[in-house]
Amino acid sequence: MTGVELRDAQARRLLEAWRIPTGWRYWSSVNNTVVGLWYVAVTFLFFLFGGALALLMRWQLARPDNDFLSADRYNQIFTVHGSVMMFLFAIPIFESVSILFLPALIGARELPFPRLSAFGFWAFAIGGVFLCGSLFFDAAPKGGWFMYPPLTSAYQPDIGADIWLLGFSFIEVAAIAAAVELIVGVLRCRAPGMRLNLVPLYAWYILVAAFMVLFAFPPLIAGTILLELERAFGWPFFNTSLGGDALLWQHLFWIFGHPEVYIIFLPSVALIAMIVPTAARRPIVGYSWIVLAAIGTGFLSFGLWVHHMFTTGLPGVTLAIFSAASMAVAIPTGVQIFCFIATLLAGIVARSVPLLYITGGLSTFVIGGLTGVMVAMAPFNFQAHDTYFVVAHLHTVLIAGAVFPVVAGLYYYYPLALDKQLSERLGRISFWLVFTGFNATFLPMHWTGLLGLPRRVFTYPAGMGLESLNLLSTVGAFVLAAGFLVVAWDVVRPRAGRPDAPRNPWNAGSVEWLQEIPGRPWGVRTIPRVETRYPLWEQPGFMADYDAGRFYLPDAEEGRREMLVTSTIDAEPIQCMRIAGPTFITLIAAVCVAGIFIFPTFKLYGWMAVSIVLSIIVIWIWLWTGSAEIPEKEVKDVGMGTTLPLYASGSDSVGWWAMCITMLGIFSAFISLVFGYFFYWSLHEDFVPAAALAGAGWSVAAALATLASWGATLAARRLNKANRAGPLYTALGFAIIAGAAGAALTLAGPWYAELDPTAGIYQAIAWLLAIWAALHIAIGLLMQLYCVARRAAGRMTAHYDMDLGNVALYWHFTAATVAITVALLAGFPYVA
Amino acid sequence: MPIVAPIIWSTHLTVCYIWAALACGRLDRLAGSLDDTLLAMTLIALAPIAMLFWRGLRRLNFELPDRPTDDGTPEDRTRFMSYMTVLLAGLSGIGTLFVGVASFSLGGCQ
Repeated sequence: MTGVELRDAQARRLLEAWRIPTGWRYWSSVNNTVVGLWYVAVTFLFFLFGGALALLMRWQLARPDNDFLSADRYNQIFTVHGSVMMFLFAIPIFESVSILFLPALIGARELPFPRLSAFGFWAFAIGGVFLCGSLFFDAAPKGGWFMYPPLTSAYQPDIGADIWLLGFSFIEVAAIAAAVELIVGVLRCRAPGMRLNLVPLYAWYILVAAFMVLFAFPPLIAGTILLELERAFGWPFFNTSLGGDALLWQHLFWIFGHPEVYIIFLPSVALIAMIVPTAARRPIVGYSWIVLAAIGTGFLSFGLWVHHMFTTGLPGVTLAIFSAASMAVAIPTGVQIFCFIATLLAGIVARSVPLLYITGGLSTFVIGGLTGVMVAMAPFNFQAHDTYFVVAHLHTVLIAGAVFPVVAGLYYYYPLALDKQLSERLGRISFWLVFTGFNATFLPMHWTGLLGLPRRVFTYPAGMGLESLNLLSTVGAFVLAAGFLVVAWDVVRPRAGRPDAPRNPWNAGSVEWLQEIPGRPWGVRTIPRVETRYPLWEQPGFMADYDAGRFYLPDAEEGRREMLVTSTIDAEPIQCMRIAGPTFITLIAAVCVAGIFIFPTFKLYGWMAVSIVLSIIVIWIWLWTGSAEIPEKEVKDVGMGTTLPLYASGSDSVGWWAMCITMLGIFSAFISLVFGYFFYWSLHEDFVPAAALAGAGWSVAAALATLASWGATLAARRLNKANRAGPLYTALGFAIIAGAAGAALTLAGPWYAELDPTAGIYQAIAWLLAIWAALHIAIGLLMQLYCVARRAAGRMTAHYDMDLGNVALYWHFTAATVAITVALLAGFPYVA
Repeated sequence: MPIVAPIIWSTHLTVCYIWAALACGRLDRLAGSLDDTLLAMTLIALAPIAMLFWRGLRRLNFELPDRPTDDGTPEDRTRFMSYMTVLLAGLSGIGTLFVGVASFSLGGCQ
């Protein structure tokens, strides 16, 4: 075979392995390029829906004393508008764009867990439709996007708040799944040679944002659990008369809510960081400073949350701390903007629609940032809180800082996704409509706010000087909408007759522009070795080598989908990993898991239980058929003189990393509940009723049983490695029995102390902590059972033991959870 | 590792906040010494941050990289990590100062 014939044969095999199914099987795809496209498309549909709701709001507010919408309707609409924009657009746009493009940006073939991405998409779609649909049944949530109790716990008994709480929990699960995917992708799946100092800035920002999701979403999940338990069963977490406190919700919500806006902002700025060097036709200026900005903003943003609570009567020292931190975050935020400006100044700039949106966006974002520093000053905040000044601030930073760059990214990356270019002319028209409309809408709101117009009011009286400003805002909103509709038209107009874009149409230097146009389903033709930040500019012959398949994995000899796992810091290849092909199991799993969240909304707890059982079965099948697969050979030649193992276990395996990262998220939710415990303790001298200690003995026994189960699991891992099957089964069997005892004993503590969770706050939080611990032990038991089955079926061996390694990791976290829970329930009352 | 300094910053903020919240609340016997305690915590947090800053600079031979750390060599990668340590320690130091000074010089329990 000649060289050319070999290359063509390799390409054919690769194409066949990565083929996207057609017909109705298309919906079983798990290719990131396909799932990413669905995800982006549905996200934009939700954006348009949320925008339409905003237009309804602006129509109502165009005149004083308007009656276009009733107060109740208006409350539903602004709640759904905010919730849709934050949960169904702003977060998913970051996830979806990353799923679509991150592999290409880091020179990888795919994300490490394609089916997880598909599951996340289906969960998001189902949850989003559930939430938005409620509006058409006059059953939408209406407590504002932040759903404060006691309004939502005591004064809104209808189903809307439950839809918000449970519907969004489902979507939050999808967000955490995406975070796991992206962290492991960026840290373990980069192109060989892409050391940390060569990682594209987009990947740095996504890494930071994904870690932020991991630590910000769990407090919201914890708060959601508390609020739903109070609404459904009367557990008084936010009921002051029984010891609860509505302020705990505010803490938990804003510990999520403030990092949330930076989670939204950073991935959008990430797009700017990729576009600006291309536009300036030179490498970015201040790469390290931008990484500093991303990481610094990520950390600092977790220290700001109380600035949403300045008017709740907190002591001055608290106001001082959070006011200072809120101002400090402006430093890294500004640093990256200066780097972008410097790059443009130092380069030879080519005008384009993306650059128009970026410059318009950044300049307006700075204004929004400055009003942010204003509201960070507590005394000014006292005046501006809950007025339209804050509405102006938040929309300025979010639209200018997040939406404008997303549109820039749309125009920039469109050829990569869909092989054509969007229209420069329509893009320019849309920009000027959007920019003008945006400023006409939101600049006046600074004035209306300072004139005293509160937020979330469905109308205002005449004679307060608000009429013309509100009318201007409404006109501006329609101009803004027109601009977005021009973009929408540019995207959906027929593509068939238009020519394909040239390859690398922007003459960019970063590795994603290796992509062939028209695109191929294989991710990359061959996994390249990179040596610089801008390989297309700085590595001679890079594209030719890529096209000829002269890098890693140019073939799919066994007809399997394969990608490289690399080391964290220097991206040296360490494993050739086989990943999943198309399957419907992700959709089925999403439907089953959806039941766990949707049925309790309607108090159909029986069907919820059925959904739990079905979900367990489906997930078991998913893992059984598609993970930790024992390869037919130990190692494989991946090209460039490198031979790599096909299987990894322990901390080398990406599955272990996924478990570790997931458990960090779950542990954060647990710590949020512990925070709640101490929060209530700090409020009440007599926090622990005397009767509570009657259960202490049971709790201690629970700890011992659980620790025994944990120890037995660790022993099982050793025994498995030593290939001693008999003792292995004994150890796992003992672990399961001890664990079951541990779970039962954990619940026995509050049971035998006869704590009634509806009677007081200690009882409620104690029961919740016990149930949380028992639930996680139960999941651990299923995992131990799974390992027994895997070993018995020959799908796990002494050498190929990834399953047990991951389960042992899970049990480390569970043991810690139970130890802390028992220390609180059986120990702390003695010292407090 | 470069992220140690921001972790110190966040620990400092958390400890100061919790201490202040308890001192102004249930454990009000701590309120009298609140400002001194916050000052001490700030100095305690600044020390390791300063040390990280210094060590990072020393590894860079006290020259901030005047050429980009964008070669694919182990040396450039190491210089990049040291540079990130210096930058993040600097930012964390400023953040700790912001929060610390504000906490013990403004506010109190009113």
